[in-house]
Amino acid sequence: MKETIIYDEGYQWIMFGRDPEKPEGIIDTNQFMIKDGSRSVLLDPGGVEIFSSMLACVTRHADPSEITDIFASHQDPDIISSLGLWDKATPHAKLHAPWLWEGFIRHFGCNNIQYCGIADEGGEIELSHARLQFIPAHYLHSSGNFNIYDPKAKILMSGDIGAALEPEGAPMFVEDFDEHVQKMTLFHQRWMPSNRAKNDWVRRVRKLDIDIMAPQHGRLFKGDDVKRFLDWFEALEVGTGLKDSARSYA
Amino acid sequence: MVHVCQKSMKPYPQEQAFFVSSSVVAGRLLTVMQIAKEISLAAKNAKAIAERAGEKANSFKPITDFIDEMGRETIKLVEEINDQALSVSRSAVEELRCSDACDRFAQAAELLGDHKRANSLHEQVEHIKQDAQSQQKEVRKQANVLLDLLDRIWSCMRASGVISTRSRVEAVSADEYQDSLNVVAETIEKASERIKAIIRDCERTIHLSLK
Repeated sequence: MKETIIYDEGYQWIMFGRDPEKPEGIIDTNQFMIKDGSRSVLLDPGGVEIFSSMLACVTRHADPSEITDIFASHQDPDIISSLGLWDKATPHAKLHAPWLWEGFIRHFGCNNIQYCGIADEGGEIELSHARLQFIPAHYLHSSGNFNIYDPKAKILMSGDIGAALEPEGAPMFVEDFDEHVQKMTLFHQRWMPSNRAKNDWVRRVRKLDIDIMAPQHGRLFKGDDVKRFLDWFEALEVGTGLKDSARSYA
Repeated sequence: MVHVCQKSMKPYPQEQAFFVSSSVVAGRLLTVMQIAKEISLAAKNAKAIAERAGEKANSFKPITDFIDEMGRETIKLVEEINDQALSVSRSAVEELRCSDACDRFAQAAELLGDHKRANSLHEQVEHIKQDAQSQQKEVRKQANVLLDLLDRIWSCMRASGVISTRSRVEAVSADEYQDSLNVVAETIEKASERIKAIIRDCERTIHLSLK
């Protein structure tokens, strides 16, 4: 699994992904770790199948006992199905995840880790230097869904927003936005259900100062590409599965 | 290799993971519960016949009490086994989770190679291994309790064989009630044979998955 340090000023944001060892047929995912002194946070730590690679990568940066917090943007298996294993690796950690999904996420196994439900309006956690904000992103795509914003590092971890379906070994950052659009269109049109939720999110996120937007699949957006993404997403019609199904069986 | 279940004739794997087989046992015991209820009903029927027969069936009356008691005892045991089977299945799932975690932690430690923190993972592997071992012991212990309970039902059913023979003997002196009492004896005999077949299958399933 490749790792890239995307921020390193007093504390670090580390991205893990592009795992060549992952079993065939499962979608590639980006995992993130924020290492801030003796505390480390894992953001969307991924599924069971990539757990070993992830644990090895994480351990290079911190002892598992130093993972004090885990964040799950929503309930999907590629986000958090490894929870039962992290529950053994980091039994004293807290899991920050939408309150809405508690009864569902616990199905992955959560006997030791403390589940801290995030309220619909969001919240924040404070580390040694970093203060992380939970930004509501409900219905994008999950009905209980959050992004993480770090105002100091100016990074928005945007979950499935900005995700792209890429061939293996794709570069870490978007290089040509116009060319990248074709890899994102279907994903957003089909997985995102609500134009209203999308536009509300765009309106709120435009107010944030963002250098890097980091989705959970595909490449990261940097600098002007963040604004390009917001413009593109605002203009995109989503929830197209409904139209498609109208053409099929009654 | 597959083994064919006698009743449903559906093939099921001869060797299953223990957490599966113990749940399968719990499911199959629901049938035993139904049959035990049939035994209780037969006991009530026998009691009614004995009442009607009066003195002619005097020696039959204590047998009906015994049949009734046997039916109730079987139902109680099935409830107990059901709880035990589900409890052992949960322990077996936990054991499986520990073993899976152990493998995945060991893979991670291997990926770390001679990194300074690899030892920390090796320690965790050892810790989880111990958890897995104690879970395994717990599963074995609970499985033995389960087998003991199944054995108790088996003993109950063996006693029912004696009862049905005794019922037939007593029925001979009950004149016009002989046929009715023979039907009761036959019902009990068949019910206990069905229960014995299921218990035998359950025991075999457990033994195989414990191997």
